[in-house]
Amino acid sequence: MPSYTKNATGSKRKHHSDILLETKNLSVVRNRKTLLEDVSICLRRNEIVTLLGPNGAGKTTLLQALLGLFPSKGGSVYRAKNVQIGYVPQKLSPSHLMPLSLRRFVTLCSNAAHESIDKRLESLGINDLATQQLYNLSGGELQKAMLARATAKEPECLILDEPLSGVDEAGQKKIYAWIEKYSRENSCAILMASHDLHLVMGATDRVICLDKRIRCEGKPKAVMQTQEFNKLFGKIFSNNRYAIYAHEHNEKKNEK
Amino acid sequence: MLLDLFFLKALLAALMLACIAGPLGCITVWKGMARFGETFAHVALFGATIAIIGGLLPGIGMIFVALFLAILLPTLATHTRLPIDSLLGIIAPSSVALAIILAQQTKLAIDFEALLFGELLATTTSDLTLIALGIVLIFSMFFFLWAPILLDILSRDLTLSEGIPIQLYDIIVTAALGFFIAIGVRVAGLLLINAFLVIPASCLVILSRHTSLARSPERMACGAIILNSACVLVGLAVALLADIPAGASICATLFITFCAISAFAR
Repeated sequence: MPSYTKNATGSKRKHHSDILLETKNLSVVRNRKTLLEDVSICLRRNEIVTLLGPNGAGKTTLLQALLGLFPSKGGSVYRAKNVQIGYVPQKLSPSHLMPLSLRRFVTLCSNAAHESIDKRLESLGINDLATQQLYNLSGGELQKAMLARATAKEPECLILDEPLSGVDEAGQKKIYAWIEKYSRENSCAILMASHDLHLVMGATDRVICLDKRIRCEGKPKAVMQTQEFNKLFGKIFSNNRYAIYAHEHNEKKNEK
Repeated sequence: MLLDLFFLKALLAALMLACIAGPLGCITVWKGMARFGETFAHVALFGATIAIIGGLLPGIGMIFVALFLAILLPTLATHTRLPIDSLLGIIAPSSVALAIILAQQTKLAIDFEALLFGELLATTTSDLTLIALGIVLIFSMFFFLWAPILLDILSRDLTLSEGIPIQLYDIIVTAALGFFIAIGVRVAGLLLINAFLVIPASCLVILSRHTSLARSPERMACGAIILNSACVLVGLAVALLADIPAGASICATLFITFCAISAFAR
């Protein structure tokens, strides 16, 4: 794991020892298009933070910047020294040309202990699929495989980029419950991106609404009542559970 | 006896090239780099021409130009924002055109046919030494980079997030491919060297889907080595018995094997 610390201003800021990841005034422009503008967020130890925003809001870009996948030019990105990060990218596209079993994928380039891997596969319920080829797995099974891989090394924080995309509702609830339980049992901080409000779990400590800039931030219930939030997500997102489901149907129709 | 020695050298060269091409070909096919081989072979032609004009051994020119291209390609792709595939399509014909112009202008009599089709039965000891060096270098690369390369095929972001310098590894893999083609093209020729890379790996992809023979990347790579070597033995035997060109005979054997496996899989 790299202990990559970047501070564009060059000044040696003192970071609170609780902070695992942080961006300060981060701006990202790519192909003359502004993807992120003046974004400052942080993830503390044992905290569960949900990054909420519509498609194209820059959620993935922000997570990638935090991971150090590209050099950040405007603003600064900070990662605690030697912090172990487990990352679940939005999508895994297993090559149909390359045979690779689920278990092999989980252990690939990883120094995680075998017991730890077995434990993860078991608790995620994908133990029986361990010898299956990756390209034969469903979307949900792949997400679970990625979670197993990300958590096998027992990281201090998990960065999840829409971990429930391509999973049906029943499956989503189960994976959610698993993430929540995992976080609690292993004191693992979680930063998770989502474009769907009804996926914000009860255990979330903080919600950050992103639409290129940070629009609002705070406890889930408090955030839902802000004007900024309603502007961003419209009236379909209210506290009403029914309305939330209705929204989901709309989206599915659009996808078709 | 003299013929036997020629034959033995050809056999050894072909078998060693077949061994390297097994795993290298698998990576080429998994990464969708099949066109790389072809381009490198064309560029090698240009490298050989420059080397001959400069009074050097053609092999040296081929290796240097191939390595140069391996480093240049990612930079060019970032700069022009064109897909690698298009860049290869630009570089391959251009390098041959340049080679022809250079040769014509300097009034050099370069045997393009020999460079394209190779002279397996004229393998020299220095060729063998160079190919043996290639085995050592390229297999050391597999030893250290195999797992990160596999992970990268699944997800570049995941690989980068784990602190793996995959852009550097990409250059090393491309350079290894270029090096392999540079050392192989003089002996085996453009046709056979690409057949060595692509045909067995493709056969193993089919086999991995329909049988339990090649259910892991390593088994697939080993399978490709075995298939390549078997085709070398059969191809050379047929060449000897029927008095046909050795390279073409091995190439045809590989093709027949591919047809047989495709038919079996249906």
